[in-house]
Amino acid sequence: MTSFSTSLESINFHRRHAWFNLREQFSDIPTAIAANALIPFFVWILSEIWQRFNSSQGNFTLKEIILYIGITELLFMTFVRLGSISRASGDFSIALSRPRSWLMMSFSGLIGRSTGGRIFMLLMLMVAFPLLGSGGQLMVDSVLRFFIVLPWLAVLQGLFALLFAVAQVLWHQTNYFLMPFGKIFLVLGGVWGPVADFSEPWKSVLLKLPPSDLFFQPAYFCVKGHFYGITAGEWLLRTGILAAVLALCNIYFFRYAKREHQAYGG
Amino acid sequence: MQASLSAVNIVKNFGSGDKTFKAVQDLSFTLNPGESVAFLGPNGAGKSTTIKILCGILAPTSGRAEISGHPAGSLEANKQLGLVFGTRSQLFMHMTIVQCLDLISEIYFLTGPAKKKRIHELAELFDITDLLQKRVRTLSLGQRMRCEVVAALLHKPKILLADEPTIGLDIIAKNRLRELILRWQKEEKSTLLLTSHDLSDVEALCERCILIDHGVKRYDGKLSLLKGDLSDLRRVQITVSEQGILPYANEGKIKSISHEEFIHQYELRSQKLPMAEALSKLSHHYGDRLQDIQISEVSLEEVLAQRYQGRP
Repeated sequence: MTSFSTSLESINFHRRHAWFNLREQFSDIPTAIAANALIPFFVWILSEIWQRFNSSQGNFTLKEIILYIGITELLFMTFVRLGSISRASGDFSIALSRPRSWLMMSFSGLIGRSTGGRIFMLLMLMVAFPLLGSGGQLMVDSVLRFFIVLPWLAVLQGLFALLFAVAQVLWHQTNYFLMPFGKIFLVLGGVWGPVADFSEPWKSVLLKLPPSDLFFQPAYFCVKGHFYGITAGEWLLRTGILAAVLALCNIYFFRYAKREHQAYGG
Repeated sequence: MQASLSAVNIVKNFGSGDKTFKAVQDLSFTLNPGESVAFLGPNGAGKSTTIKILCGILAPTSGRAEISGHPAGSLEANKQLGLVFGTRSQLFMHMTIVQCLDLISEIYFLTGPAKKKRIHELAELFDITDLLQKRVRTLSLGQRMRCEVVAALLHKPKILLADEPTIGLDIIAKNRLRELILRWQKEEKSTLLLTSHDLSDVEALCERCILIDHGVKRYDGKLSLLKGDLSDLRRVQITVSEQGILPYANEGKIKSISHEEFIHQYELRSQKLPMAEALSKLSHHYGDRLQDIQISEVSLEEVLAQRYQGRP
């Protein structure tokens, strides 16, 4: 087999693996609905709070706030989740005896799972948005824009989650670290971050951090149709650099974990 | 003939300096195509470490392991290897069996019509055709284990490593799985390396056994010869109808072990005293007060317990 057809076969396999993981998110719909049933309620509460905190700025209308909160909430609820990370790290040992790369299989699996989870939550929110007073064309446009950024966000999320999966192989337990990490991203990039009433230079600093690129900017794009203070090209460049750094870190730590794994015994 | 699996002078140490722990010490063995071999040893003997080295999960400190001539852990070696773990599942709980088998086939580069054909072939062999559309979470443990074995065999591995494949199964499910593994092995002429603490698995599936302890090989040969000088030892249990009967007077060849109210136990060597003669003497002694006789060999458990004795 030539290296080209091998690469093609590999891409096809990982695409199917991601699709398998995506479908898995829809395999137990009653449980998934029960697990996410309160999300629209959070969106409503957070939208109300936001309105009071941010009333002077007037950057968003109430309808937009609801959509923005819904999308950021959706992104956070599916970002570096412990279940997916544990599953990837739990597969590490056995994967070394398979003829496929653990790193690539975990990555495609994480992409599939987060995409599936995000689509599922989006479908739930599409039912909730009109009930919260934010349906109509604005919701349709926002949802369509969301699907534009979804694949790339899945790649970025997958790279972050993979880093935690490798860390879990090395240190066995990362869930204590996972929660603060998620919360820092939430504070810096999400609901209250970049467009809140912060003065300079904090506002500029916040806007340049990865949490802003991963949560605030995509959600802002979905609602408004453009990024905040940057072009789509700039956003792609910044997230592209972030993805490259994360990919290199993953490869380095995977090799390190493989070496360290030698000390685990039988 | 190309060996299915070979371990050559494998050494595996953990730690360094004064704290070095020698998990496996100079271990060598070869498995030929079609062989069924049990890999036995007490806890901490180095079994799992050796298995991990054979799978390519761990690299040996020195020595080498090969699967069908390919270095363990290489892509080619991994393609020849099937793995079944009784304590961990390869299947995805929320998906159907056929979806899981479909994905696992592709992990091993099996695609298209060949994949479908193989899934249905094995589904028939392991009697899981009715389970294919069911979700993994809805299966009983026995059904799931049959599916796990099928998942491990999809890519026609030349060697199957089975680690405690019947753990937790009831006797009916155990027997069924063993029968199916034997049938598969007969049909595909593959090699089986089994690790199990359930010696009934070992006796049902394997002809040869490798025994290790403290990382060192203690025995490698026919399972029937593992009993060594205990192989002709027979235990005879007599049930009598009355209390207070004296046991058969010891002539040196029939040794009285115990005698409680209605149960008298003896040990004898069938090589030294033919069983017919022993039974004749005992029945003559007890006469019509003899109610029942049970004869048993020394169990594999006892043999291994004796061999493990003295270890820390």
